[in-house]
Amino acid sequence: MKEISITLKLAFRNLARNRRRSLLTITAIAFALACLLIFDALKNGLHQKMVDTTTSTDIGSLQIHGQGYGVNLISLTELPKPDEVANTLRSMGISTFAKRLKATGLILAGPKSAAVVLHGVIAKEEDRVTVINRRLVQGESPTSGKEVMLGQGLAQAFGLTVGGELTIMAQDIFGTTVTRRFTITGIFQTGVTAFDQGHLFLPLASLQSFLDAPQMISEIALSLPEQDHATEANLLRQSLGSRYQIRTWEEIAPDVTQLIELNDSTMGILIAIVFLIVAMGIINTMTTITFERFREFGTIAALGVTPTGIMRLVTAEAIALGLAGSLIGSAIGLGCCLYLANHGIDLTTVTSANQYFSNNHILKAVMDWRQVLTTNAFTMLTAILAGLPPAWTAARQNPAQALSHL
Amino acid sequence: MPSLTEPLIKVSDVWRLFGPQRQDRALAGVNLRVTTGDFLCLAGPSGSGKTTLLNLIGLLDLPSSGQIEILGQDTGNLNLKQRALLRRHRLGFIFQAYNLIPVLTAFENVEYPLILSGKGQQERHDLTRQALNAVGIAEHASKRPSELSGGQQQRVAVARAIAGSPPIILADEPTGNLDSKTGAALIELLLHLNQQRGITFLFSSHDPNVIKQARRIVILKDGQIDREWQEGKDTNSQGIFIGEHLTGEPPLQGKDSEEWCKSSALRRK
Ligand SMILES: Nc1ncnc2c1ncn2[C@@H]1O[C@H](COP(=O)(O)OP(=O)(O)O)[C@@H](O)[C@H]1O
Ligand SMILES: [Mg+2]
Repeated sequence: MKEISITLKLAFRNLARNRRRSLLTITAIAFALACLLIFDALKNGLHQKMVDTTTSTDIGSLQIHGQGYGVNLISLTELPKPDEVANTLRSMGISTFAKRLKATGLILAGPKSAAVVLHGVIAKEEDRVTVINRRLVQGESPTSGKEVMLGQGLAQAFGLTVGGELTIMAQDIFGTTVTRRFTITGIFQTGVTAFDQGHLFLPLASLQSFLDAPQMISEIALSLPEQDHATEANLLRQSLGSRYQIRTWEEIAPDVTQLIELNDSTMGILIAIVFLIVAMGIINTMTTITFERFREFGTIAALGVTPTGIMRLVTAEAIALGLAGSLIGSAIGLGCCLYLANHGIDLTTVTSANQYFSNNHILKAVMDWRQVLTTNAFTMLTAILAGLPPAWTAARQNPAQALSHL
Repeated sequence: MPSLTEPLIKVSDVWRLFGPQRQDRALAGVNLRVTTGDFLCLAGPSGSGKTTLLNLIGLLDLPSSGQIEILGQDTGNLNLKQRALLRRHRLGFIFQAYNLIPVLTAFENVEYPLILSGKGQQERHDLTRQALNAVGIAEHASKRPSELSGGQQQRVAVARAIAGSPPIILADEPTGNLDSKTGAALIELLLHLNQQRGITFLFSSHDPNVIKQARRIVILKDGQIDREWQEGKDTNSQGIFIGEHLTGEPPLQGKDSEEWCKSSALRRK
């Protein structure tokens, strides 16, 4: 429509005419948007770190257990037919999984003792799911029958080093107490203190023989791309049936999920406040614009511009402000995000004791395009909504009165 | 199309009351017919209701009671949009303070109403150029209002009003912001357009030098039509009519008229 192009022409020229005020408004919008984009990306980075740490230490993306498996490991629960499960997984195109046997035990060394979780793992499989073997600070992973690796916290508490020995006491599947001596081949440090103080790894076959449970598996952990695991979990629930229990990491570590949700809602409140400020800025600018030009609106009303046309004229200016703010804010925000995605912020001073920063203390920005688009869309929406009240006032004004306005 | 005998504008017993108790009678029972070809001046002292009447005829305001017909159409039941569209297609406006859009050039200002009425670009440009030529301001087409003198701005405003050839053009004190020489020249221009192109003008003024150019004079007083004079119709000459009513010669209502002349002389300074 021809009226649109003259509307845009008027909007842009009027904004250009009040360059200082327009720039100030645009800067405010751009600044707010850029801050939101950066905060969001850093928050994403933090969440990714939290999820990565949570899933790559031990949990994986999701876990399969036999039905009735209890988290506290008081009794061993067998995962039935692990080979069939493995085949099902392979047929679904999943190769990143690890079979495990987990049990509780007691380590005894001299006068000291401590309850631990015994992990029987196949190193080759485990490497596809967790980073445990890459977290060795001394020695190497256990390979043969009587070798173990343990967390640094545990090693320190017992004064143990690589090459040292310890005794493990546990109950086998028949409930009989068994003890055996093991040699320490490696010491790991995940940075998750509780994990480093209470977990001990040995080859799967070795734990199976220790517990007199040949072939027994209690858990299969899967590593999946972040977005897919809920879908895969449902697929697995359907194809494996009721003999198995399938849980995602969110269900296994609800504390992390809740922390993320808490962060998200805090961010949500922050976003709402920022948008409110942006909205007030635009309302203020638009109200000033409309009052300054009341007589002009009376004039164009006389020329035959309809109330809708006047609404459009004022709204066009609000949209132009919002759009300019959006574009500039996005450019600045994404530029900063890009830098922070590559270089990150060094948070050593504030995160040295934070388990989620155990790998390194660099927080990197992670951009989510959907987030960028929604934030931009919200900015535009705010601009439009904020432009409506003054636009309405201008449109409903009696032209005779508007014309006599000084 | 209205027939030639049918008035372009018919105002019947129009009242416009202001104030919380509707105590201010800006117009009190005005009847007026404007016919094709009129060059009609609404005269009368300040506060007599000229602006109010022009606003009502221009559909910029609503009467408290009474009827306003434009080209035979009763405007009483029209909504805001319909009134805007009627203005767009049937009425041209010239304002005392020119009221050009400051961010548009002279050319764009004249073109604006043509855009509104949906004309194609070529036609728009032709009509705009013609209108600017007709008011003798074509060489300033690309200037913005702030680069033009008052007289030039008002000529652009005239071009804007005539470009779409509306059947009638309303002008509230079109010379009010101009010095007497420029004002006289502007009225000459309007009269020329009226005589050469048959454009109907309804304008207001309290300046005798402007009023004497009119072919029809309607004098408002306290919101009512006090007197009327029409060229070729009334027996006494225009000069006598204006003299009686505008220049303070021994009039029918002498005192009022004297007062008015003093105040209008003050205002013109
Ligand atoms: N918006 C308004 N509110 C209240 N009174 C008004 C308003 N507009 C005009 N009036 C009153 O109506 C009367 C006529 O005014 P107006 O039409 O402007 O006269 P003129 O144009 O002849 O000088 C005056 O008494 C004026 O005070
Ligand atoms: Mg007036």
